[in-house]
Amino acid sequence: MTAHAMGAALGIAADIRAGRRNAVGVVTAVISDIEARDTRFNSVTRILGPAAVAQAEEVDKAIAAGRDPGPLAGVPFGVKDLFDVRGEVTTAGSIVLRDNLPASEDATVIARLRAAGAVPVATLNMDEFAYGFSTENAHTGTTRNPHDHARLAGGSSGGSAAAVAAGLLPFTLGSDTNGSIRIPSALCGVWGLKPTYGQVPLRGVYPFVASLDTAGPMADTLEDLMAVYGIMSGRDVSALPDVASVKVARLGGWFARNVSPELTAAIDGVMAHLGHDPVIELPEVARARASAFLISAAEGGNLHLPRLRRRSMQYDPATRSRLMAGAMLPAATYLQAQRFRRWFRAQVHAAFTQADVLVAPTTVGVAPRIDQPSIMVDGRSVSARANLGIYTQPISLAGLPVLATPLAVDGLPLGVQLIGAPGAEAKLFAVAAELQRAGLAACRPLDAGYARKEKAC
Amino acid sequence: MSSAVSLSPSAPGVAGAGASNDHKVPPVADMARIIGLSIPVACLPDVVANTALLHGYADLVAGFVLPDDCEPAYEYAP
Repeated sequence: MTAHAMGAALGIAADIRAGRRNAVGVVTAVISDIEARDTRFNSVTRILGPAAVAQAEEVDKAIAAGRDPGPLAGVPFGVKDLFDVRGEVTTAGSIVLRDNLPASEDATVIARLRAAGAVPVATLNMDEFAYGFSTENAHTGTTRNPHDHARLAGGSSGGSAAAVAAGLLPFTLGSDTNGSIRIPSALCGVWGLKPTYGQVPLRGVYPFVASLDTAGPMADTLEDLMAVYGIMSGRDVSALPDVASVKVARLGGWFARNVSPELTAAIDGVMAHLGHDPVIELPEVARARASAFLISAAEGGNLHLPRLRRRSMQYDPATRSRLMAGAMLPAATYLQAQRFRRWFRAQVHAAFTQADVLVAPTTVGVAPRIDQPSIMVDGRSVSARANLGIYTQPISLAGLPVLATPLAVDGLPLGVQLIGAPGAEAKLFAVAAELQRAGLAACRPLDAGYARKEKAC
Repeated sequence: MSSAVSLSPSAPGVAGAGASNDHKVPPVADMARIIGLSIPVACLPDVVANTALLHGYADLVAGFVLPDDCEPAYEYAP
């Protein structure tokens, strides 16, 4: 099995475990690659050099001593800058938190990945406090799409997606509240997973919207995505259902409007390959999106209100105005949105009596240009930063798992959401594996530097 | 299902500071005072625009009649 067929991260681990490469060599080479190439993308905010090399040395020592270094032995990875990394200040993409004490321990998911042998080497760019879909950050700059530097990477986990798409790292971690893993995954052409709400522990992950927040992986192969998700969640994903037993349907209505012709054609191809194309329309999707918007604004605004009272001018201007508006929302509005969420969840569950996996676009089309950050919705040009999530926010409200699947298309990346019932991640993986096998889904990183063997080894 | 055209409020930044011309300008200064928030003058236009946007969404959600036994979806596990 080649390293790529096995998964890039899993391939690196297999080489290190077998003594064909060593962890220190892999980690130092990846750091050198980031230093040499990331000036083009601005995906990385901090390199964790000394700590990463020290951990890699421990992996090599474990192997030399005959101990099991873990399934991801020596694999370098990056984290959106809202995960606690022991010894580092968690900034959440803002200068507002820069004077906080360094984290005294890792976020739970990072601790689990470290225990599996993986090595965090970098923190990654994001919209300030994860409040945005574009990774345009007044403090840390804009992350550029590796496939076209004039275009947005998407957000808020834009650094996480761009680092994988550029081939700087085989996998990264992101968070998804309203689409923040799915949107950059689609625009940068990488695999991403928004797990079922509540399934992956969020201890040590800086919050945005407690009602909607999730954390998940992004990767250059489906195999790596599954492996990292299994470690993050503590769930066994080694056995997938037969894809022939999985009923797939396309979401229509709201999810069929405003979609670019090339993305519609690609989804047609996906459905044709899967052999059936029933269409399901969820009710009141516009109100579902509105409810996610309101809950996000209210909870995010409330979280930051004490700091907004004292030092609002430290915030990114775009974030500040949205948080202030959210903090002022009346309780009646917030409660109505949470009651609507209860109603909508019942409608969504009813849809899953007709199908196991729902297919929907992730965005309306390819990544918007940085100098023209807008998309067309209902015939109007609207802000990309606020509207890239029109197809992801309604799904967030229901808390469903979604596998962001990069389509194997010519030109700029496009992606679809494979949406499952709560806890049904395995069915998403089964469908995605079939699409990958058929050549309909693929991540095509620019230059996977981590896959090159070190000459010294 | 209702059409997106009739249900989508304007997005911030689309039509200037007002953004949502079909909604009255919210009393942002009063709302801020109630929660002890001071909004710098330079920030006010953007806050007003975002507040108008959120009120548009609030009107949309409030326009849907829910049964009295439909509880809020937040959960508490003691």
